[in-house]
Amino acid sequence: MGELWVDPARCQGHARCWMIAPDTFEIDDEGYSHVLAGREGAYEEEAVKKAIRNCPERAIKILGVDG
Amino acid sequence: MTNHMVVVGGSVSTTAFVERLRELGNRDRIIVVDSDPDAPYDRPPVSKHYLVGADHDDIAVDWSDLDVELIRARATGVDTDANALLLEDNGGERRLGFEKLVIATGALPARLPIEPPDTLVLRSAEDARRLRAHTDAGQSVTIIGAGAIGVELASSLAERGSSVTLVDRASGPLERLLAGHLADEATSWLESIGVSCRWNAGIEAIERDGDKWRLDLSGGQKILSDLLVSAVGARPAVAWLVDSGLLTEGALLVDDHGRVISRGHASENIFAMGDVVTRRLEDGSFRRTESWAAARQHATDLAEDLCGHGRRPTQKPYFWTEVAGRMVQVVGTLDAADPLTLESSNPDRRSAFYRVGADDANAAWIGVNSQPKIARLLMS
Repeated sequence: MGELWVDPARCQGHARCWMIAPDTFEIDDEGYSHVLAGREGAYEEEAVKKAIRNCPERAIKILGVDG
Repeated sequence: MTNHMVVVGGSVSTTAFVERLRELGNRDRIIVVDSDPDAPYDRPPVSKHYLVGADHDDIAVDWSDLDVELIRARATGVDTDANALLLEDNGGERRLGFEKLVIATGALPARLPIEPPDTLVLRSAEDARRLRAHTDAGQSVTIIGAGAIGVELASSLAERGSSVTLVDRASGPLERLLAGHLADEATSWLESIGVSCRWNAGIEAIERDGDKWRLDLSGGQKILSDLLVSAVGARPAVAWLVDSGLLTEGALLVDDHGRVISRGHASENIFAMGDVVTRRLEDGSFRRTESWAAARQHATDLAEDLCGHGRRPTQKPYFWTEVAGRMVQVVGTLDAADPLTLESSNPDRRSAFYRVGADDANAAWIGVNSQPKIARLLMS
């Protein structure tokens, strides 16, 4: 399982990932998404794939697998 | 046997549609037909990051876990009696039977009648690559149309060093999307990055003038530029359906369940979603949507209906665009007649948050660099 990462330079705060996988992503005080601490390597793959497809900025990456 | 579903078009709504079907346990064979060599891909980055970097990762959508067969071919018609889609590819013409057909061909750039046919447009990934290849820093570009595409393009090209003129017959940028609100603000943002804005501009003629393009405006003004881009809007991609009997007054009408209505009847097995669709409202007027969020909403609604699954609550209408480095987000439905109230602002962040409407309960909201507030609205 690759490391899950939200590119802060790309995220624009659409909050789609949080709506799909609230136990994996969080929206910070600035409105941007992060992977919840401890979740970078432990996440539900199906929900994360869906979150990746739902991100209109293509900001969510799985490192070490395809990126 | 034709026990499978055929989807025409592999873009925003199709991704959301198949994803939701699979999530609800549907295991039908799904064949997606799209002639776009880049399909499947997502649209929002095409006029933003992708235009600048042309990095396929910026648009790519991963369908690998969705069990979809993709056929690269052009759909040329539907034989509704035989439940067959007509296709054309390098091998010639052929037919593809279906049990259910979902039409998701999106929209194509509208063209002005006086526009030369080789005018550049921006819709597909290929359009973006062509535009990118044609625009070197230092070149002058005239963009006709200050909707989201025209404004995003003007912003991207001006920031890359092109000299950009943005022309629209409206009295300001994003007039339809922002319902006339914030026109002066958006104009000043564009001007601050060097975009020359010409509003209330009627175009009399578009001509070649040596190696330049010349636009003659109705006031007698002339604009010369190296490149000309048309961004005057989009029209549903329905030309291929003209002989199918599925169109009503040239539009692909659907009912509340995404079923195509033809000759007054809703089809049992032909559906449509996304930008291609027109809905008829109770007062008889027609309505279309052209947003990423709306396309996804159509798609998930249709998937839920087809699976006999209850619909999730409809999400609030949501739209965003980028204007001269500012993120502009709209939640809800804007009305030109509603009053605009500045709720908060922070000049250091160039942010502002507006309510449009008299009371909070029925208001729409516009955020400029106000992601935290918009995120909270979207999450509530």
